[in-house]
Amino acid sequence: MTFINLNNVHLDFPIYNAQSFSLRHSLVKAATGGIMKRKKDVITVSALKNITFSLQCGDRLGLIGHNGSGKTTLLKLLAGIYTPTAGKIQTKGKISTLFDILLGSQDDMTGFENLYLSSITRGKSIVETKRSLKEMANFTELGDYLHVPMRTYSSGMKLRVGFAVATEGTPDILLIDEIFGTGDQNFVEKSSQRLKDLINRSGILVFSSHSKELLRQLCNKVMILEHGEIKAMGETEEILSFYDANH
Amino acid sequence: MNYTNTLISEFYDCLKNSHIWLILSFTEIKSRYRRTVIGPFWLTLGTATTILGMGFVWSSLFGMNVQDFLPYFATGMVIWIYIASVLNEGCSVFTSQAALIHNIKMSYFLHVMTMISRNVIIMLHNMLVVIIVFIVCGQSINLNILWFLPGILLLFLNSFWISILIGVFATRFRDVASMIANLTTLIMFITPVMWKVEMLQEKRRFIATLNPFTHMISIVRDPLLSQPPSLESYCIVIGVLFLGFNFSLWLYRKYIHRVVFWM
Repeated sequence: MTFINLNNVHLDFPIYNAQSFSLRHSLVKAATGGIMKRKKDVITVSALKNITFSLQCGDRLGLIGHNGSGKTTLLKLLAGIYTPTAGKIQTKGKISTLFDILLGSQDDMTGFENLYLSSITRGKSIVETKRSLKEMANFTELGDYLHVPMRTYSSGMKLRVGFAVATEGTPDILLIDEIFGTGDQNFVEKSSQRLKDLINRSGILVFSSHSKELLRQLCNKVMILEHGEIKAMGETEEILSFYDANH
Repeated sequence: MNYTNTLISEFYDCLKNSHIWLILSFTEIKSRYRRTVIGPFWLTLGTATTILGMGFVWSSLFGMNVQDFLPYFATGMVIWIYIASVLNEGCSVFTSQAALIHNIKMSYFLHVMTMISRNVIIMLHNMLVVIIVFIVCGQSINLNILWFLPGILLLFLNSFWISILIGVFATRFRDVASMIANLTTLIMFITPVMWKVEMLQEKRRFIATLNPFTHMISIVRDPLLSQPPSLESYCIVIGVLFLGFNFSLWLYRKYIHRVVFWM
């Protein structure tokens, strides 16, 4: 059974400047017995504080909040890319992330080769990849261009290739960080349909967006993040009207 | 105990997903030589010219027969090229995969395997040079060559922990990469890659015998040159492997979760 469980999760983010990256500095610190502690070298940002919530299969959670409120950090935490500094996180199910659409694509390779490579990097087996290759290629509508190196593509064409791979498969948990509206008008409709299909297939969706319109369409729950804390969480309409009233 | 189990299952996962790192490493080599006529055989050709050119000069410096010197030098050099690449690319084993690390949860072992398998593939290309040199110089082989397999396996296992160690340190401390780049040239000259341990004065032999790279090279090279494996070298390499692996895995367990913040 797919689920996400977060219990009192904190995440502190060390930000290093050039100095603290240097070995000499650490050696000097070690030699002086730690008296010369220069705390300003490492700035610690508490990116997430006191995050407690759980999601079951069928939940579609939207994240809303200012830039820097912790939406992306929370998504990366759920993806397992970040480990919490304190607290407990449990997830069960195959996770798929839509953060960077063009992940792992190589300009010197053809569109076709990139479909194959990105599908493998995103964790599909060789058999799965070969099975879905034709379908992905059809979706891009690039035809013979797929046999030409990606460096000759326009940015819209590159996005088509990336999007085709990223939205393939049936994840248990789908994490999306703001991606909508790629390419020309016709393709925007086609890609949002494909994305909606993917969302319908997935067990749990967590989705960050600034667009209330999309949150209303896709989510049954919404969470407001502010300075890394949950300000409110609940039914979509209720939370969105609360958000409107306070912002 | 719990930690050991997670590491074992992580390692098992990494082996189960071997198609990922194999495809990634092949792609990297292929894209490096895309649109060249002879492709990855530039690796072979590059190594061949180095070995031939240096071989002629150094054999005469050492007062040795080219035919005797070349097989020794070629095998040593091919192994050294592998070691040097692991040392240098180990520094960027995580930073070069920053995009992947920030987007998909994968075992960090997988990035190490990508780098190592890429260098193993390069080594296989370079082995062609060794084969050609052996044929041209009439180097004979005997059953001792079977010792090559455990030897090379131990070398690969050692490169695994070395990469984790260097990878974690070099991501945190950016000076490490430059430091290692500087040191590799020195290490090559103080390690018996092109000279033999016996050429050293008796009282200075410790330079070679205390150097773990001497033994890593020896357990791979000796069997190729029909010599029986040296027990001393095996003991040292296995000892280094045991200590190194334990230390690296301890470091991995303790700090690998921080690596994403250091990039």
